[in-house]
Amino acid sequence: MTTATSDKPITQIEHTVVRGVIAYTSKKPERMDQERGREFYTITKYGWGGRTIGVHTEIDDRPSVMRDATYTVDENWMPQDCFVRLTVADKFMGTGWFKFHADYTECETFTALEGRVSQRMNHRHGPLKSFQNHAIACDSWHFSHYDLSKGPGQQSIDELLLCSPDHRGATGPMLYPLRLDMVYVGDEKITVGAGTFDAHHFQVPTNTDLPEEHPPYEVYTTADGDYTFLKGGVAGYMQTHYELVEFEKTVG
Amino acid sequence: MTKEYHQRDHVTRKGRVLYTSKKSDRLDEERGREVWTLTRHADGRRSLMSHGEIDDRPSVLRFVHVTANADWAPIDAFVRITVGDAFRGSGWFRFADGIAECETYTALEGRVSQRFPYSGACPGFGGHAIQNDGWVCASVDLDKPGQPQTFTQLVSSTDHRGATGPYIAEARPTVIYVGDEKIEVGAGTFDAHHFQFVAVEGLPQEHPIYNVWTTTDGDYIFLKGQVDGYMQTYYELVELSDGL
Repeated sequence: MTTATSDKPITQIEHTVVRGVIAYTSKKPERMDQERGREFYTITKYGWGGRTIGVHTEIDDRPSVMRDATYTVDENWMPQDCFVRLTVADKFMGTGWFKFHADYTECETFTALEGRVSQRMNHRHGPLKSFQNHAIACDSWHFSHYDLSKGPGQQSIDELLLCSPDHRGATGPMLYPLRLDMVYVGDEKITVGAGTFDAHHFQVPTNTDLPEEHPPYEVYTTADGDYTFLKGGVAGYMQTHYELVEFEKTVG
Repeated sequence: MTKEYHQRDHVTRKGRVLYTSKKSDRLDEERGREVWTLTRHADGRRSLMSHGEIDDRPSVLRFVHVTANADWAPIDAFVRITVGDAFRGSGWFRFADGIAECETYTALEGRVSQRFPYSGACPGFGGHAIQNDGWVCASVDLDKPGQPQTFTQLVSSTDHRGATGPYIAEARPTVIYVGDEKIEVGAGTFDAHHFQFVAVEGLPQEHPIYNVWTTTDGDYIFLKGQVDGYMQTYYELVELSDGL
């Protein structure tokens, strides 16, 4: 109903909305700077500080991976719920919903390989701090849990849950636990396709807890408290580069 | 070299729908907006991801994902709604042969698991994205112009703005396929199917007549629509592009 009251305007816009596009390119010598995928997202930041991202991802590298995800965190960046839908090589791979409670996370999923699965995983280190849904735009959100007041160095998230242990997130979606080490290198001003930004520079060192060792990952985020992904790159066998090429605030 | 590395068997389209009012005291005033991406796979499956904002107090923010097979039978869906800038619900839907299931967590009902049986494939699903309304029209038989057609749909909410749940509810819209015409909207000039929703059984409050125009290209892209009665709302596609 749209009836106005005497003391309140007819519309209510307490949130802000930003939209962004991240380009995926290769840094391998034989395909240097070749586009190999893209990501389009919408982030709603609520008036109370929580935020929801809806993100559509396309990895063109054969077999292609397409992922739709909607992920919500509260004002302290603590996960609330997440939806992930996966297509691999243009075929259905899985659809799942994750709900994060204080002591446990549940996952309701249907996958091409596992069928209908209900998972419940108790947290070993208190409420879950972060969730890896494999959208690049959300990779930078992990670093909101780095205590910047302690300066450059290394800190860890003792327990992170993933929707897939695959480097491209191309399995499941199902729960997988992991420890995440984070290195804060420092701050610098950087220029990406979407503009020039004051940035935090972070690294994720080589992770040996995954089924296949993940190469080091450099990530630059905005320094404005929103931890917007600006650019990043994975070394080793992947040689992938990700860069924010469009960014606009549309509402609020 | 590109083909060696790359696999792009799908088509992606992206659109933006503007919500305005047709009430005399706020004529053509913007009252919301929606941005969506549509993926059409090689086997005919289509996935919709939509972000909708209704500014009218209490505001409604909605993320919707719906996937349907080549015959427009829904496969799975997700709906997350915020009402008055506060969390209202987050729910996942799966539509199998003979049964739909919903796993949801809402501010009012808490954690709920639903099972909803039906015969055969799921008849259709409405997640309250305006673009999703265009897809509902795919259930209408185009060989019966001018005839009222009533069919069953599952919906994520029986509220006219979709501001409850999300959970499974059943609705039975009666729709008339009016015919085809060429129309102009903000996104361009299109050949369009014109549908009219004349009634919707199963809702707690009678829904006013709703005219909808969609593309004729098989994707049932919502071009424009207007709800009469107490709502006096108007929706129009203002941007459409291929790719991201």
